[in-house]
Amino acid sequence: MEETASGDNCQNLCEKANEDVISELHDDILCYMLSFLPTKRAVATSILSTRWRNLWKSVTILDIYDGISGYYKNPSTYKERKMNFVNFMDRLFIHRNNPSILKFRLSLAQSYDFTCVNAWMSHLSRWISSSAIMGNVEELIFFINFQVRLPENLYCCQKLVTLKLHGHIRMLNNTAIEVLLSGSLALEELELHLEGRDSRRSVDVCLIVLETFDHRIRLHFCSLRS
Amino acid sequence: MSSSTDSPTLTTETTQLSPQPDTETAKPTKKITLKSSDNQIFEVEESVAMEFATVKSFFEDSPSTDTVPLPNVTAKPLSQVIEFCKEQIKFKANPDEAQKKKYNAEFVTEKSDKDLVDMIPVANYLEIKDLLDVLNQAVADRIENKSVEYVRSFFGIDNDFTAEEEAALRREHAWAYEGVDED
Repeated sequence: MEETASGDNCQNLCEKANEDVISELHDDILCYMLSFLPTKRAVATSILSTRWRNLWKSVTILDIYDGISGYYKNPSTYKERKMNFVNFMDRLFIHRNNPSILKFRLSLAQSYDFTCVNAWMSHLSRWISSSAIMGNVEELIFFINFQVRLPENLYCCQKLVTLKLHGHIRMLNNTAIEVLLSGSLALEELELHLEGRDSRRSVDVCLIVLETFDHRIRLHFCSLRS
Repeated sequence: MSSSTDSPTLTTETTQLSPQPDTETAKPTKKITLKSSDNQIFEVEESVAMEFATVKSFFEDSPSTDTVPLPNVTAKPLSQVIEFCKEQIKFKANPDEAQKKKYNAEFVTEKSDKDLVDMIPVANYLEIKDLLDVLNQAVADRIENKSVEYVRSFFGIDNDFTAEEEAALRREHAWAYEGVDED
């Protein structure tokens, strides 16, 4: 640091009172700290300083909510906000440099272009595969308001503790579910609130769960007619 | 990094936070002495000190020592961390999740931004996972919807981006900056 005039010294001393003790911490600790924020805000920390620029790329807990209230609330910026969100998602999936994930929560209130969503899901699928090898995915939560097929390897996470599926999510057939659930023996909480074609399957899943698990598991099912 | 010495009450080798003497029970509880980087002495019960993984392993390595030096920890955050751990010991003895949650929430609510931030490296250094989680959550709650400028001053971060770099990053992740509160 260069001091230009003696007057600056006082200024520097005063500023030292609020010393930056956080930026000195190890990357892992900062990433852990960022995992307490919604992913949107974790990414926002990239412009705090160069130290923070790439930290969000290694955060292993992702909590994404499109947060775009309906068209009617603010029609003039709706399109732009939606586009910003899609860009955000594209960049998130491309730039994240840590394939491992611990928790993944995705809430989409709006519907998005089919090819976009498919691309996101296939990225997610790859992360899950590489995380599943290490067996560290603990929580998967989806609230999705439009027809989407989740990656099939979603459920084969040995350490999965929480699985929640809400909305128009397409399930696999019963045999597949049976196989998948029998692989997730750490499961403690299962929530299915499906709408549309697969809504009735919830009941089957419930039975499979009861047969598969001999430990107590928190279940919440809701079957809605389409 | 030498600590500031402008605190009027700061005297070296003072005893702080000495626990209440055991008047009723004859059984003496073992005390452990911790020394902060600004040379303050904290005498804490063994059970509290063992909550600090770093201190615990220090004792396992050299059991005959009577004072554990904590070169990275200043007195103020250390005293707050000890306060937190003392309570956690009580909850360990008498588990009450609701009370514990209430205490943890109150513990962070009454702390200033700076106190919270200063405790994070301490909780990390002493490896107190529960406290680190409580602090991280409290910090996240305080900065979640704040502007970049607010968060910088919250942590005391110096911005070393050029205006152009900052603008480019802001454009790149435009959605991340949507919906922040007015400062």
